[in-house]
Amino acid sequence: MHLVFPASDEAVRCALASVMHVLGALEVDALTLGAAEIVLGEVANNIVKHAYATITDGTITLFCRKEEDYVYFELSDHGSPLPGLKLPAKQDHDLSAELNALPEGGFGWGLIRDMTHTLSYRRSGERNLLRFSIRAQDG
Amino acid sequence: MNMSSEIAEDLQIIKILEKRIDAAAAIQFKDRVRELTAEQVTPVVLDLSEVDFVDSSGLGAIVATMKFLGSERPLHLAGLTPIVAKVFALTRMERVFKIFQSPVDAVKSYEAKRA
Repeated sequence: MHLVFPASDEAVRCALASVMHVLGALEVDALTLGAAEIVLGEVANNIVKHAYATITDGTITLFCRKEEDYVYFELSDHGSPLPGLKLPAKQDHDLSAELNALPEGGFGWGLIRDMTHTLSYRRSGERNLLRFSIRAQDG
Repeated sequence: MNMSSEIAEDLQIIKILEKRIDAAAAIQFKDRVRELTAEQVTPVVLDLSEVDFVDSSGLGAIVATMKFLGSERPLHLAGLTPIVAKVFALTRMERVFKIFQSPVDAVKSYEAKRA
């Protein structure tokens, strides 16, 4: 499927619902759907929050297809590039810290990395291109 | 954001009556829990059994709520659905919260502590 939607929290929510609806109809199981929704949500929210931080009328283009045990996604935007033109690492939080020092963010890229089978990023001209795949869960 | 609140065994149980705590809902979530907890002084159990999606923003909002309540007033979680449990596991935040199977288990645990 192919979707183009405005870069806003609400539009991301609607886009996720559409994609999950279609993947559900393709008989993708609930856990795989859940993982896909988390990753897609994190990636799209990052685009809204960071790539388009200073742009109000940005759009996100999404392609998605299912092939055997994998669901493939490609998201592109015209916002600012990822820092250093590379995928951020998973942040290692100090969870033994006292209450007030606990992290309230920085979970996104860890979740994306943990839940994807493949993940790649490239800057192409003025465009960010992020591709990832999710493998159907066993059972 | 729809939530219900009840007091049981010196615990305030707040049930989230929504499917999602995501980037679009995170601020409303924090504000509403603050309102609901303002009149009480008990520990709080968040019943997440109706919630099937928590993203990193939602997780951040839950941690922010825990901080806001302070160490005298612990925030526990109950009723995590599979994907929500997975998000807590992968981010290791499951170690930060006390997580009960259900609000009933949380109440029982507090009863046992008092007895």
